[in-house]
Amino acid sequence: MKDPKITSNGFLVESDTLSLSTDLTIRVNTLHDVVNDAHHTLDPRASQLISMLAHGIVYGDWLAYAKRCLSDVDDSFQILGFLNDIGGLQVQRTLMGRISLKLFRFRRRFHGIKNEPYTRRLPIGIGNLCRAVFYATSSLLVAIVAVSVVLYTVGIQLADVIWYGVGLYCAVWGSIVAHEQVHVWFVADAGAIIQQGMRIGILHKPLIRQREYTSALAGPIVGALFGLIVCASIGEVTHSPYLLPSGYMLVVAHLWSWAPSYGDGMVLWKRKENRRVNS
Amino acid sequence: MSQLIQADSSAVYNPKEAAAVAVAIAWVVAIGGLAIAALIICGWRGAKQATMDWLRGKATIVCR
Repeated sequence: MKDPKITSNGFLVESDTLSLSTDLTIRVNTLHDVVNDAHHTLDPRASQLISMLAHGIVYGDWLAYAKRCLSDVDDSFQILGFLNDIGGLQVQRTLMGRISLKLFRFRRRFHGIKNEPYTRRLPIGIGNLCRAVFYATSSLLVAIVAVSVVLYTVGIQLADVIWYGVGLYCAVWGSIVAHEQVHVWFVADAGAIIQQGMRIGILHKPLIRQREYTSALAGPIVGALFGLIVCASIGEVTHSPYLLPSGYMLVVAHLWSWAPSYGDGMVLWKRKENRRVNS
Repeated sequence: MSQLIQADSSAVYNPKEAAAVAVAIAWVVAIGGLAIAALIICGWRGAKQATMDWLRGKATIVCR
């Protein structure tokens, strides 16, 4: 599975133009993330290589330079992997680059090799939030279209199929936007939207406990209610029998965020554990 | 890599919300399964209606 133009990370092509997120600054050998006030310590070689990204550079050129600086070429991929994990890489790609990367990633997936997803970091704003949620739900959109085709093939009325597909996607998309917007309100616009595959979150400085707890409670509730109301309304107007059950599903989906392994749930369960320890 | 970059251990970067999308995809796949079952049961004639009673775990498929 070797393609000389695509890295072992599987999310970059040599013709890509890379740059560093504007939230990241380098001072001496420290990478400072302004959004969450994180300070990452850098080796001088890593500092030099990351500094080259600050003003934009073609990935192939950066990789060639990195191979000369570092004894092990895998270290260069790990630097990029770290920057990608923190949403610190901004990538501009040609149309041919997009096509070749999609084919490469599909082949890897077909052979059971997991692809590293690109992490997108966007400034806080309702437009960017809508965009990020669209990217995060793109696989859901593909699933809805595929199932809609099957439903129509089976003989379900076209109008029902369309209303169901459009209504369900709008309800899911809108409910996630509402859920995240609640978190944005608690962060008071001082943060960034981070999206990786189906996962989406708000990067921010640590909040005071009460604020974090209220945010973790309110986000899923607002998302659940929004989804249920949209599904119930469209179902009522179109008499589609599938939408109200989908609304109930969305309530479950959002309240599932309170499970301990998920972001909002971790906050709630951590508070519960702290109270138990202090009592 | 730990020699090149030492990440700030206090920083949390993992994006959070995948639960809603994952559950929605599972739901759509379940609906798709119901549709495929209708296709198998009803054949080329197709189905007039396919519904699922989630509480009782019963699917009702009415063929043309």
